[in-house]
Amino acid sequence: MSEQLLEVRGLTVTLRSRRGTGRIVEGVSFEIARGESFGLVGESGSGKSMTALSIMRLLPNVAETSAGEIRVEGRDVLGLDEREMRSLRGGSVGMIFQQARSALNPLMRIDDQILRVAALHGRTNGKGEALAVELLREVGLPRRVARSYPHQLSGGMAQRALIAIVLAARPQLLIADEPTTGLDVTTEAEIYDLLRKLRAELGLSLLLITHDLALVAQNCDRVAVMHAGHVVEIGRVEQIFERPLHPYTQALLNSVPTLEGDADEALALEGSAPRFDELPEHGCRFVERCPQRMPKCGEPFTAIELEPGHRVLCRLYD
Amino acid sequence: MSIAAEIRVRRRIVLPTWASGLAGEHALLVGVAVLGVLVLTALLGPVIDSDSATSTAYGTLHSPSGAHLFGTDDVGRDVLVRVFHAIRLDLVLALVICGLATVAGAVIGLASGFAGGLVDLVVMRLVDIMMSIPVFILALITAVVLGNTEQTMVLAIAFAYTPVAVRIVRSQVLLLRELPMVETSRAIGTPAWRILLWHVLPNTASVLIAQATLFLAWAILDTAAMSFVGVGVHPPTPELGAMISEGSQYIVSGQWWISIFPGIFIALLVVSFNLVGDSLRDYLDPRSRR
Repeated sequence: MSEQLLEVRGLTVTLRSRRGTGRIVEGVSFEIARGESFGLVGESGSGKSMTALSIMRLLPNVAETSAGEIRVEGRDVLGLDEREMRSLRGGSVGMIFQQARSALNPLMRIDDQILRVAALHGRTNGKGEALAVELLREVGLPRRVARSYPHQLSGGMAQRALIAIVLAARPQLLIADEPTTGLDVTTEAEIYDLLRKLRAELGLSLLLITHDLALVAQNCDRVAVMHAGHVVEIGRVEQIFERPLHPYTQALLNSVPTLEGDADEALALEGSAPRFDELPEHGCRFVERCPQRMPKCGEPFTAIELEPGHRVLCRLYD
Repeated sequence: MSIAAEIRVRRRIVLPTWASGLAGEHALLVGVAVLGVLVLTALLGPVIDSDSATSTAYGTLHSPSGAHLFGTDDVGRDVLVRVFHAIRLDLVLALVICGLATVAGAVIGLASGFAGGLVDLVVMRLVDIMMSIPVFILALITAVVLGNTEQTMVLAIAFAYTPVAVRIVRSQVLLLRELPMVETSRAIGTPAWRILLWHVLPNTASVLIAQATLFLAWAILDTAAMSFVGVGVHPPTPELGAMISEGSQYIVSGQWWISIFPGIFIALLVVSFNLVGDSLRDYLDPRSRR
């Protein structure tokens, strides 16, 4: 389908370190359409960020994509040379991180940082100052910010400024890796309002990486739930939240306390995900923590589609 | 807490910041003023009185007087005039040494820190070896090996300082390259050499400039020390260290002025460079700018 902006097929990332070797991301597949907002949720170490970094081919030296295919706008990312890769980074896929302030160069004015990125991606054509102000307006910052240094901005303003810098390269897809960690709730809501506005106005697609289910419910069209390097369940947000199929997804949703329910009813999930060098060779990686495990859970298996677009990686639904 | 107590606490917090801020500005002011006067004398001195540095027309071993403020030396040269000429020479030599060592250190340190791996390992072991030898001894040996001239002395001192700059830049690079700033920049398609040039190098600048100013102070001292022991600048060329050396034999017989005045100016130069360096470092860090 050419409608898809991003296609990830069977992505496997192998981590090699002194402690051992493990496939920290295994068989991950999902796709993001133009203008779509896609959530990737999971606990720390579940491989969300590694998946995002492999789209940018920015994995740390100890990790490599050992199998799978990644296509951005139909181009095979893993086959691009370094120069093509640089135009894809920023130009097709922009990425924002948590702690925006430390992502900015403390010695360079905001407009300077915006214009350098714009120049790298060939869109200055002499209107420098105007472009910087326009981008700042787009992210809801006053024009005086153009002449500010990062330390003069608040956390929320720094994140907006970073978004303006990323937008200067005119990406189609924005990867936001925990973009509001460390910001207060009000600022967080403002940042998500901004991301929603940018999607509407610029037709931007969003890949939101977070551990916060509520943020996904509010901001995403579709969601993939990751656990120990597997996408255990994927589907539209309504599907996942109303009919969670995988025991892990069910446990995650049960662990969110509700106003009506008794606080004690919110179930904490027992145990933790296996370490990267202790992952089972095949079969389910949730089996140790699963209340419904069966003998066949240790065998090789594939995801099944139970309703259109709703896939689950679990033997319960064979 | 009562309001009065709170005000007292606030005042206690505010006062030191204000005081230290002002103290910083005073240090810069004093440093720049002293340096300014010294540079001016270095520039103007020889212009006003161009050939008397080697002129022996004033009579030998006159003590300081209205005619010769710093007195005259053993062959009848005016010590004041020679000091002015020497300051100019020493400043130029110090600037060249500092420039060479800083640039070489920045380039090698950047490359080593960013490349990492085997390159970094080899460079750092070489640096360790060089730094295990005292700077002055290393410079002295190098100058003598290269041939005892002014140029080789400059090269030798710069060579001996380079590992210090390499280490400082590399340690900054190791720190900076792990910052989200670098990852963000890579994720936006910036080529590695531009990341070095835009984000890494400028952020090492505050530390590097402070070190460069220290290099200036060290270079004044080491140039003088080398010339004192007879390496580098040779008499009759006026150089502060060489002049101290020339006058040293007369101190015991009471003609102190031949050595003392060059010594005072070495101290003035070194102190003022240090004052300026410290203030510059504070000023160049935008995080501390108000």
